[in-house]
Amino acid sequence: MNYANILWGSVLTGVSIFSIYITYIVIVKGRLRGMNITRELYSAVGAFTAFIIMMSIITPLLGHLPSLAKPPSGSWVFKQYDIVTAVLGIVKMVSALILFPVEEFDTYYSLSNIIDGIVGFIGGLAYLTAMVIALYKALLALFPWAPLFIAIALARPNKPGSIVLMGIGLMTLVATPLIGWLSSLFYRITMGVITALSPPCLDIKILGVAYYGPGPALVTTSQGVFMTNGTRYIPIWGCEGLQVSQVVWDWLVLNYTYTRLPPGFTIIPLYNGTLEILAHLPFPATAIENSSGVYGAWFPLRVLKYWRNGTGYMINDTVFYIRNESVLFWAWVGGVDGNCSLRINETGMVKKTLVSGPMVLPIFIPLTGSYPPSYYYGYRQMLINATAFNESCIVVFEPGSRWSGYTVLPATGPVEWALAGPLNLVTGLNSQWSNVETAFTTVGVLTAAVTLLGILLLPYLAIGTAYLGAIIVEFISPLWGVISQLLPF
Amino acid sequence: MGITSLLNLPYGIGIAIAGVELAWGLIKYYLAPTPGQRREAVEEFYGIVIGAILTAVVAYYMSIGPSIGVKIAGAMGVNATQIQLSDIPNEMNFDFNLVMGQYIANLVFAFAFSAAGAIIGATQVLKPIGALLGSTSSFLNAIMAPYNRALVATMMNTIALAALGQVMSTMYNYGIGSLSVALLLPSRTRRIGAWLASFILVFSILLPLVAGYQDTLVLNYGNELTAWLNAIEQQCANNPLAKTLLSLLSSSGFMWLQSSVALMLVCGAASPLGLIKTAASLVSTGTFNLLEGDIIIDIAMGIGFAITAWLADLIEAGARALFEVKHL
Repeated sequence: MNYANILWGSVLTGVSIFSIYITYIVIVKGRLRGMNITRELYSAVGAFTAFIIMMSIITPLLGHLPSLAKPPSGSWVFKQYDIVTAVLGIVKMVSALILFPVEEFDTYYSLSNIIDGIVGFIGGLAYLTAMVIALYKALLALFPWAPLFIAIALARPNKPGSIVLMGIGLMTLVATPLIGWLSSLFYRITMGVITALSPPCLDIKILGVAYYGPGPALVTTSQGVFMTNGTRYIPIWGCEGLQVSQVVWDWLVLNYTYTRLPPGFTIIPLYNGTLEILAHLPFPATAIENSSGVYGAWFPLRVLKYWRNGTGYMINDTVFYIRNESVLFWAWVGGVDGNCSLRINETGMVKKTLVSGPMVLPIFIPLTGSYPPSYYYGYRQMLINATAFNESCIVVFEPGSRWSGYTVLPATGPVEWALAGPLNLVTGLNSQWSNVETAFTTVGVLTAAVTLLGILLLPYLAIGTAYLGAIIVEFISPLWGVISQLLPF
Repeated sequence: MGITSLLNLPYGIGIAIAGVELAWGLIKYYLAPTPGQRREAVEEFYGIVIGAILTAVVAYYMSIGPSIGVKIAGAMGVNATQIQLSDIPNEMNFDFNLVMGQYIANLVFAFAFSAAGAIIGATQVLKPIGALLGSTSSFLNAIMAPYNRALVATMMNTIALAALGQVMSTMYNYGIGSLSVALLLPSRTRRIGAWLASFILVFSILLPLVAGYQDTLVLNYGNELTAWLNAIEQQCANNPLAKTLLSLLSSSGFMWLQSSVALMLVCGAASPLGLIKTAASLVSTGTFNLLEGDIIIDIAMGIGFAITAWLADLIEAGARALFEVKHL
């Protein structure tokens, strides 16, 4: 936009309007009608002079005002909003495909609510930002004409139309730089929020999962985590590779191998093949498990001594019977007891680890399904030597705390990104909130105050311009008298 | 514009009143019993002659208002199509239909997906498909939310402009522009005449300008939409399955389905990435331009009404100075 052209247009329009107005007062009212035009002429000349002064000040200043910067791109805001919401929308679709077949309706609706919340928030923010930018662009077009509106209002100060024009002129002068500053601020905030939310790419895929091993296990990958109970598909970013970095069962790190099998058919563009994972402990352990979860594991590693008629066998998943045997057990349990000689040593044969679920706001965690607590408690990893010579012995393994992770929501790739969204939003906005408050207060109060003050002061401003006009007219009149004496006609 | 075309302008009732006023001036002049009253009558007659000339000038002015508006818009660097006063309601109606059609299509898409999801999801077996359709509906709602808001704002503007256009068009056809000047002559009707004249002076230029600007915005939006549909269509040009599905749908006879639903569903499913990219481009450009235009139009109309009020007062004072007869 060429501001110089607009300014010159404004100056020429103003000069034309005032020239016609003053000529009309002098010729029609003064000469033809013989009316007393003194006050009206003073006001008109004063307003004309005020207009010239204003334009003389604003013309050179306009190019140097830092606040009248180029408006930020509103289209960019909407474009980024659309990309983020589109990806979030696809995340919802993919989640529906994954969660509904396993009847995890609540989990799906929780995720859906989270996504709707994110979309609603950034939608409002993007719309507000675009509106402010659009308003700034509109005011920017009006800005050079503001002095003309003020001068026109001053020309006839006591009329309703003049008050409105004065208000528009003043509001434009004051609000344009402020709205410009506000639009830049909103743009920065929106850009920050959207950048924090920005997905790695737009390519979302679904990967089938085939898990063989003790379960349910928590699988950590380069694109997030998921639990293996009933999880048949996980969403991933197609633009990023997927590596399995850890497989954990009951806080125990499993040995594993994995393979990416390509999709057998390519008709469905979302489907990206299968991830096959084989995981196991160093030995085939017996899990202490019931319908509510996993409570530990144990395994008779070796029969150390064997007497005549010695025997040993498992009664159930917490009880082992021995007679005339000395057996070495490995156990990952809360404790162990028996009615024979037990020698217990703590061991670290199987590596333990902390676990972690997806990064979500605490209020959403119960809704997205339960992940195991990060740290185990009530567990000991032991080597137990149980010896029963010429006697029967019952070795009882006491359960530890529950391995309670049973979510089927795979927090991988796009879902992990969507779950982290609210946290990113909160973090991003916290740093900007004081600026937002200040911005709204400053812009609102300043614009309203100056506009109201200008409207209230309009009659006094009019007196000022009338005095200015009187001085000019009284100065020109004698000069005109002298010049007219010199003219031959 | 020649004299003949000047005569063809719709002066209407205004020129008739001006004629009556002229005749009344002549009668007063010839019937004046004293020289003083005769001078009064002469003075009044001059005023009436000036009024009659102004009446014709205003009628002419109203006829060239749209071209002046377009020139002003051009000088300000704004693209606006030239629309005659009488064409504004139709043009705005056309724009409204275009925007409304797109708005309804957006809502219908979202509703259709949502309803289909609810119906299919009612069966236990197809529950995942139902949820998929439901989430597609919310996806469409989310991505189109700012766009729909901009479309609503544009629709409101086109309605307001169509209504004002209807008023201005009627005024033009019935010669109310001329009438407004004629009403300036008698002191009793001067105020209403001044308001009418002011309104006509301002909006004869401003309304075609703003309506032309609005029309250009909608036209650009239509171009964006067409470009978007073409871009989507190109995406599945090399996909034989998508092409077959499209041809099947097109043979069903529903052109609307073919151009919109089919393209979005078939080509979108074939390449969701492309759909996102092209939709983002359309929605961003189209939405922001419409929003910006809506705000500019609202501000311009507000200023127009303020200037009308300001000018009405000036015209009234001018008319009083010009036409008031000094009683000797």
